Amino acid sequence: MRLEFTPEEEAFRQEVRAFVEAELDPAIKAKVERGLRLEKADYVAWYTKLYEKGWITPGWPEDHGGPGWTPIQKYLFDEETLLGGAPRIIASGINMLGPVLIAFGTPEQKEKYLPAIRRSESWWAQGFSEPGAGSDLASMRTTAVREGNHYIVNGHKIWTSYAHFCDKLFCLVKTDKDAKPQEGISFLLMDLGTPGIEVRPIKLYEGGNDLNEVFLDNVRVPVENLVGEENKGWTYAKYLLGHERTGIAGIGASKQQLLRVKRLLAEQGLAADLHIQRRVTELEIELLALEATGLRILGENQIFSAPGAEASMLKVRGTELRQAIFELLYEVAGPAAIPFSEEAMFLEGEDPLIGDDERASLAANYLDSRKLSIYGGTNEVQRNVTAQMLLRG
Amino acid sequence: MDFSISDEQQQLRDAVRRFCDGEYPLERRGQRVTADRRSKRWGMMAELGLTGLTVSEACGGSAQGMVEQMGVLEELGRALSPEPYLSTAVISASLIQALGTAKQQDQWLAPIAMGQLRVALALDEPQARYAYQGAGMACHLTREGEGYRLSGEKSLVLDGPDADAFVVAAQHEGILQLLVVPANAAGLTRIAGTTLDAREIATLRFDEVAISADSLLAEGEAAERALQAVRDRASAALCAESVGAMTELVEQTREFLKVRQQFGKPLGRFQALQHRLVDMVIALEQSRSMSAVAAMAVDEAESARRTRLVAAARVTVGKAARLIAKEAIQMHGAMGMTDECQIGHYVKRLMVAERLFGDISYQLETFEKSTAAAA
Repeated sequence: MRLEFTPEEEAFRQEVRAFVEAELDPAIKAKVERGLRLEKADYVAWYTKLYEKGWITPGWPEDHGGPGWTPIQKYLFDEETLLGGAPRIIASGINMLGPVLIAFGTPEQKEKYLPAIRRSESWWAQGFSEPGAGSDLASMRTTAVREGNHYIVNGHKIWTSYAHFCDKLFCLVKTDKDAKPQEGISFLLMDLGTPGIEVRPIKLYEGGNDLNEVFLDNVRVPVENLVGEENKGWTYAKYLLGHERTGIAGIGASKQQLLRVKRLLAEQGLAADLHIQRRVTELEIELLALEATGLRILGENQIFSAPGAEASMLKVRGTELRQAIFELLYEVAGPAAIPFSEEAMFLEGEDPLIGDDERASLAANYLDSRKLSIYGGTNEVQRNVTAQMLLRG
Repeated sequence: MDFSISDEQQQLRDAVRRFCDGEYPLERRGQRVTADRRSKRWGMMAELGLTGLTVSEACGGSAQGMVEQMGVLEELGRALSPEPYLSTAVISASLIQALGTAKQQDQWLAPIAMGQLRVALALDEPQARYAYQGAGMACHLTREGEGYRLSGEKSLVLDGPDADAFVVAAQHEGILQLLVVPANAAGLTRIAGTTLDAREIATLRFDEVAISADSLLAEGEAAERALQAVRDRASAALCAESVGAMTELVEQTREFLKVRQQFGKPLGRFQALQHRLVDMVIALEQSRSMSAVAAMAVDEAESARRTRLVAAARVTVGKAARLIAKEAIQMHGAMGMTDECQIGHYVKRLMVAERLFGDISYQLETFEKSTAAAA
């Protein structure tokens, strides 16, 4: 055991930090740090910088363009980029589809899709949830029926993040209606421009529009767009959801928002408020503990009470902590959280009543943060999964 | 940062676990044992090399750090060992090792490593709560010829009744002094009692006890620094010990949920209990991580950072201990409140650990102060 990172790891951290400072557009950084809306162009601008540096796909193997980092390096990269105010990697092609294609795709699929994902030329939406299948994903009903060299897809996907940024969709479909819930599912790739596909944005309560519905009406998908084997899609989906272990706790993002709390407390003259300060202290300690656990998982000879459920526990704790930080930010806003206008969520916009005061976005940020315990498998589902590991046998 | 545990550390832990499994059968844990038995067990721990883990090789020990001792302390906590490992092998040994002259080290450390001597820390005073008084403490030395006289009262001396000597904190003309006093010194009265978790504890009254100049370990700033360091070390040890006790509470609760049947099915089938069990495990794992951070900080970090990280660990462990203790009792139902059930004994061990060297509020304040000092 060793408290310090190795000199090589520290040097790597400094390299990432220097890169973020030199290359991240200050306007994008301001948007991230102040919880304002980002456009697709903001993400693409940052991802392109990462691509040029060779850092866009830390989770991919080296022979597919990954940088060949150790788990600690990946961890430090996540932390430093988020702490430096860089946008998260929200592109599902990078986080989710890439690893699945690398593991299960045909050589043609890899060649056709992976380079475009790395260059941010194609953006993939994830078509998993349905109106009748949220956390209970296996009860989905979208169907794909084989007709010659095509599948005919019919159904309705929902909560599709950033579909309005995307040109492609990877989708779970039922190819065997008579099979048990998790068995008749296949994994299909589609072009969002295919006739019969309609994307409709969903307006959220804080004004956000990152989520969409995708309607699939007799969509013809070539059979070469099937990933892996027919009816094995559930396996690939599980691989996809379990792939990212270190990033799941959002430690860098929490650190960055906790800095925001401290900055706002100072700006609002609340630095001497012992009640709020004590809550900051408690969150800071919880963050230290989460960070230590994230790093401990990477160590050898570790004892864990629920082996196999580490990612679930990190998701639960990490998201609850981030929510607590956003709740504290909302508290810091005080009565300035009462006025709201959507203009205030843009960098150049301002609220007609309180101007460009940062506090204008804090109520919306708090409302937005409620998604954290819902997406990626609700925290209740994560607890179910962990309890099953603990109580079986 | 690297949390990897070496094979040697793993082997040491395994050896301690075998000792604990043999010496502390489950149904006897938490019960008081005779002084004779306590003394015998201390000798067995010396044979395993445990009493000399902090002691230098020159004095017959193996000079291990807190990281190496973490697994030992977890196993002792898990078995509710009442032996004075913390007070003698961790606290007193490290103080004498850090501050003592070669002669003092020979005199005290060699017998500690051999298991012939138990030494306890006499630091707390009545009414002082956790804010240890340093140079303002009531226990004081007065000059007499070449030496001194020691007068005053020390309270909450853990393992005091069995101790052969004490490391005592006192002041002399407003300057903090650390000294070693044999338990049989004339003028020293020892009042023995028991802790909430059935361990031995004492109040010491010093009435003009003669102190020779070569009993002094350190004074002034050096003594203050050493005391802060040993408080951090003891806190890291308490974290490890508590992680051990919490591990057992979670384990017993998990087993109980599997076997206890109500309403025609095991308790573990009720989701209201499943989710709370998961929260206990999450709290335990966070504690395990921070206990390791505290041990590494004691071995590696400069003082302000060390104190800050150790305080963070104490807060994490303290809160987890409260949660796990309450839930373990609740999930065992009324059985969890009986003296026969093991749960209560573990809960009491955790309650005592939380109060030694500062409770959660105190640790939160310490974290804030040391964060400011480290900045």
